[in-house]
Amino acid sequence: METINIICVDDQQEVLDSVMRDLRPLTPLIRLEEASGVEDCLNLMEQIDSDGDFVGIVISDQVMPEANGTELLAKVAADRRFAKTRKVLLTGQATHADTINAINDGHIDNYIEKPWQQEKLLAIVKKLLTLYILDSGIDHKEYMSVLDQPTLFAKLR
Amino acid sequence: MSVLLPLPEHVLEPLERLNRVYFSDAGRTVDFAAGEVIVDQGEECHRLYLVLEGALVAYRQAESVPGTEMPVEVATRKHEVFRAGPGSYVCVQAFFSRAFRSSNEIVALEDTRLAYVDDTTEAVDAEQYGSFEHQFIPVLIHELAARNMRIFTNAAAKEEAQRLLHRSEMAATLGQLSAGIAHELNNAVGVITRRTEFVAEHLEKFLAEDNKYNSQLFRYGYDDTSFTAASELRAIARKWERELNMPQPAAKVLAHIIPDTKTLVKFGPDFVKHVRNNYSFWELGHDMRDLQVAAKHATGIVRAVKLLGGGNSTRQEGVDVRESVNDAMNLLTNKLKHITVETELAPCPLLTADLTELVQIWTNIIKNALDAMQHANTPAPTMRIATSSFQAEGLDLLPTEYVRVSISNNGPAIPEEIHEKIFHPNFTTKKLGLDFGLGLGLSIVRRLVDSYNGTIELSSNETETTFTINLPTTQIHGNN
Repeated sequence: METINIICVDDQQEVLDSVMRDLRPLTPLIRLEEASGVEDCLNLMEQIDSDGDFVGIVISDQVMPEANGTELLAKVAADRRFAKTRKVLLTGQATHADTINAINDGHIDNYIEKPWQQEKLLAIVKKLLTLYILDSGIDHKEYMSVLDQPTLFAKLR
Repeated sequence: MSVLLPLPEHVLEPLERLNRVYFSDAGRTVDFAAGEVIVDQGEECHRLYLVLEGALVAYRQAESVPGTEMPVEVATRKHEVFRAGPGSYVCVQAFFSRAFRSSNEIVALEDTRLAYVDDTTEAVDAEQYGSFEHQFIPVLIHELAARNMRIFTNAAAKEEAQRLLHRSEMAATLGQLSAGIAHELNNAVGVITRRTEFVAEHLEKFLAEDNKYNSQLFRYGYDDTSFTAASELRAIARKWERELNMPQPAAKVLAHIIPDTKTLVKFGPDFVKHVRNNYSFWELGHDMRDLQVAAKHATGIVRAVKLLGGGNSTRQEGVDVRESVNDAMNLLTNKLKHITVETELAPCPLLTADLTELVQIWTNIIKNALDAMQHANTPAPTMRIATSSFQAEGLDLLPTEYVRVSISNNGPAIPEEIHEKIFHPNFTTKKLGLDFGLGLGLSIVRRLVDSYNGTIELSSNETETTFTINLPTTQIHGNN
């Protein structure tokens, strides 16, 4: 079976740990990976791609030292290998301009504000995961327990 | 506010002649005692005065336009127009306009002696020097220049006063707000800090009674200080995941405790097996650690916000600025030992100040410099701290004696466009882990320096960045 990865990006390890913990119900069907910054995330995606695995979702913080989340998501959006990858901005500090860029250049699928609630985060991620799996033509039956049922039925109808 | 311009020689010479020829007749001098009115506003005055000794002040109050009324308060308020000392001419406008009516009320500030000419005075040596009016042109120019200067000085002083007022109003608002926040947060954060410690301690005890490995795992998580890069940690976790056929979260925990195969052998298979099934005890310990780090961080914010608000300052006379600089360096000994520190602490006039506030100013600037140099991996990091003092000649409104402290480093340049921004609250370039900058350091510096009516200068280029703080030895006393 193929491996679908969800990558969380944040420069604050403590925040990263919390996101990862909140998404743990998706494991072991989905693989959770963490990256400490834009560069780290891009390297990781390169590695996942060369292993022949998938990047289902990238969840990124906005304000990070070397480059911000919007720049990362724009790079991901521009890379044809990750055309179907869903993108989420998870932030407490995005400015108005950041948000505009995130939508126009990063083509983000969702914007989650910090502090977040686990339930909401999980619901959004499941929805996006469902869309990713259906778009990529991956057999969704293997993943039933981590998919969003209404999204699934709406798409399959 | 006596305004005497350094006039050029070719203007001064004729003035000297005029003073000698027209204003040295002992019969045409008058004396006024301090407080005496020389002439009232609107009073008839046919004399042009030269101040020989003493000092005088001119006031003016608003004149009502005939047929209109003015609020009493406005109509009776007197404004100072100028002050004059020896060498100044008075009633110039009334005399040369031939209105012969004084536009100001002029009062002697000290015992004053004036010499005068009046409208009956004849021109002396008219063949050589021209008519009376012609001879007095230098006086008019002198007066015009003086008035110009007066207007400029007044406007500049007013602007400066307004700026200071605005700043101090902002500081007061910020102070009230931050004192309130600090007070409210202090208790909440205190509870979190102490209870976390308590819970962690007892949890470990309970775990130890049950299973030695579990309490050990908890302790590893609680004490975890690994600064391994995320990518490296990921690689180790992946290695354990594959080699030991471990689930991903367990492998990640193991990567935190065991970095390589050699260490793995040392820990033995029993421990590894235990981690596989009980890694969450490590996570529990790590959670407690995060709670504590976060609480500590919050405590730091509360302390910084309190400082930002100020209020508890006790300023005393006779504070040596060098003592505060030494205190700051002692506080930062641990951090300073990794760099070269050059000091040049020249003796300075004593300040009226709160020692702890001064120490706070230097510590914040030094800490920032250290962080910047560390972050940029500056080769041969060096700081230079110097104290000196100087006299400032400038607007009458400002104090004249200053103590200067300059703190330089050879770290990265601060971009020109953020020179002003770095003093704003919530501006930070540091954002790494929970230990990131609060963005309050330099705004505290700004507030403290402002509260002493001091100034901060920042110059920065590729080779050197210098913060220069100037603190007046005397406090501001306003206009006169």
